[in-house]
Amino acid sequence: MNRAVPYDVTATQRKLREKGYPEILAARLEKGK
Amino acid sequence: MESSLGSIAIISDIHANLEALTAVLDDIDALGIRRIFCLGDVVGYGPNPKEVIAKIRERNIPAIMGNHDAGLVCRLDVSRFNPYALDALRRNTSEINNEEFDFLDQLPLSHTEEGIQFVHGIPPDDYTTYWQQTGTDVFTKFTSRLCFVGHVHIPWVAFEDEQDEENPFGLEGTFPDANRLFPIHPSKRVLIGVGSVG
Repeated sequence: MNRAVPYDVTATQRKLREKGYPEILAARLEKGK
Repeated sequence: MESSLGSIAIISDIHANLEALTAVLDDIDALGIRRIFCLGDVVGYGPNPKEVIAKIRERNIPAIMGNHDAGLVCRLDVSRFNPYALDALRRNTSEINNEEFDFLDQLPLSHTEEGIQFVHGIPPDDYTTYWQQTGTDVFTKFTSRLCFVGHVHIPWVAFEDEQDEENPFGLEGTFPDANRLFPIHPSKRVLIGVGSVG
């Protein structure tokens, strides 16, 4: 993962899951892109 | 970036990711940079389109249109979007109000300031094409010395006069050290991909 400015990825993933977005969109954040 | 404009921060591809945008803006503030420009894709993929649009407007950050923004406001046929991008775009659309829709709808396709060109995909005003698809011809598509693009999600720098058969794009490379400084010689024309926020 190449992320110049760290942020709370898990918070974004949690919101994606709570709102029912496709799981692949939460997974893509692990890769930094 | 240091320029005649002073120090400016160029961000792109926020993709409705509030946590990432907040962290990046905090970082920009800590560096004392007051001018920020956004190369598009404010929405798409992420869960906070309303909040991200609000922050862009609150900070008065000039932005241009990306393909996800264009898709949301029906300026782009999204049938070629992958299914999960399309799903996210529909969910984003259901969250925003008319005023937020209008904000996205009025975003310009490109911006030029002080001889520097800003566009989402490739110059002069294409928000769907990836610069790698154009090969070395990409340098014929703009006249300014510097052009900044988003869309690709990976930071990179291409120099016009350093292209050869082995390195057709004059590509300096992608940068694991994103804090690296890139001095740019005044005589060189350069295309710069800024990477993504979200």
